[in-house]
Amino acid sequence: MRVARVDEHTGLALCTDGAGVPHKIETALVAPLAAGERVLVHAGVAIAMLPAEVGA
Amino acid sequence: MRFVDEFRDAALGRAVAAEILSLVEPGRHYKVMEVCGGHTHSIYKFGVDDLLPANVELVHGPGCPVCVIPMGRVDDGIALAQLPGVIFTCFGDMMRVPGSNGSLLDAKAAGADVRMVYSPLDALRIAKESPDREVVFCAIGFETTAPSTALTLKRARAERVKNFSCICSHVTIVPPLRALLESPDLRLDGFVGPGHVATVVGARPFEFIPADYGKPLVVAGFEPLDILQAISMILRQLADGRCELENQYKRVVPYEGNPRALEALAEVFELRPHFEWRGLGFISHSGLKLAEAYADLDAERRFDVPGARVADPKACQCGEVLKGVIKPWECKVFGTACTPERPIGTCMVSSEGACAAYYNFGRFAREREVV
Repeated sequence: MRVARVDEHTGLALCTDGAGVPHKIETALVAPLAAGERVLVHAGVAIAMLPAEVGA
Repeated sequence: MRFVDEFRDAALGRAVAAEILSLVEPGRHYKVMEVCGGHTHSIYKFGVDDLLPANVELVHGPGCPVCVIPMGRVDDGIALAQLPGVIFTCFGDMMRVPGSNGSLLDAKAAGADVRMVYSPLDALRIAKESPDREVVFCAIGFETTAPSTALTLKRARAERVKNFSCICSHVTIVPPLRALLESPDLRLDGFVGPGHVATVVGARPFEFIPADYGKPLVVAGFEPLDILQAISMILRQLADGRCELENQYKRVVPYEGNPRALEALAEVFELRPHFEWRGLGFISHSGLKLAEAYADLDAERRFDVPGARVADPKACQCGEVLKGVIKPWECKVFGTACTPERPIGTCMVSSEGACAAYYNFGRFAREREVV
């Protein structure tokens, strides 16, 4: 999923999946995150960062 | 790069398939186990096995979270769901797993408040929105999912949510792999290692498979090219006479895993002495329970849970399927009495279950047609 916005107070991020659907995601395992970064999400939690896109 | 199309490229797939063909010895039969149900799903969704030589057989392993839940745990969940004032929350697949007297979906139809959630955080939100109800989250899954439960319990503690608890059936992948490797039923040549579990625990915990059992293991991603490349890497090791742990999924999996996830798991959970796996029986130190420090959030302590052991239905051969001893279509009830609509066994319930993967993607053929 791609990070759209991070709420540093709650530790949750608004992320969009491949279809553009927004999800609230727990970021504690990969924080700090920035808008535009991509994360691997499992059961509502970002468990890994994905490498930056090339040529996007 | 979008990390999807590149890993589904047909021309590259054919090139890796040709490489695989060049690595196999004619007359030798290779058995490679894909440990994770996510791999099983991808293999049949994308027809990966149709690209393999006839003498390379994929054997489906025990890494499907829903498939390994024994009937007694389903009955425990239903008993909790039927308690007055309880909202029982679980992942969608779990709702359809048969217990000894119906599923959680049947309990919901009969009036129990059972709700599907995508994340334990959703269950915690329901608890905060319903302070006069007790909200129980049914936690299942391997080390990939367990951090999500751990972080949710930490949040429940930090936010002082008193009406939230968890019935924990999380499991760990290494003990059943060791049990399989000790089993005389199964002869394997190598393993496609579980990429997402390894995202959390790292590739390191799988070192024991090449070191102690002499089988190559390649941690792999979930796109068709990932899986094909991992099979190619295993076959190359066998051809070279090597036996190592390799990481095909380096774009996501670090050797040491995610240290924050491991820290959360160590804080919130502890190992059970034994845990029952469907079809595999009791395996030592293979299940997680809430640690003493989180005992107040443990539904098994907060409520009276039956905890009865229930034998699998006689017709069901999920155990043999989970151990890779038989193929799904060799089960007596596959596709007849047992279908995804009316499953008898767990392997037909989840999209990661081998039986559901065969059934949904039409893999009924007894003989593979090699492309």
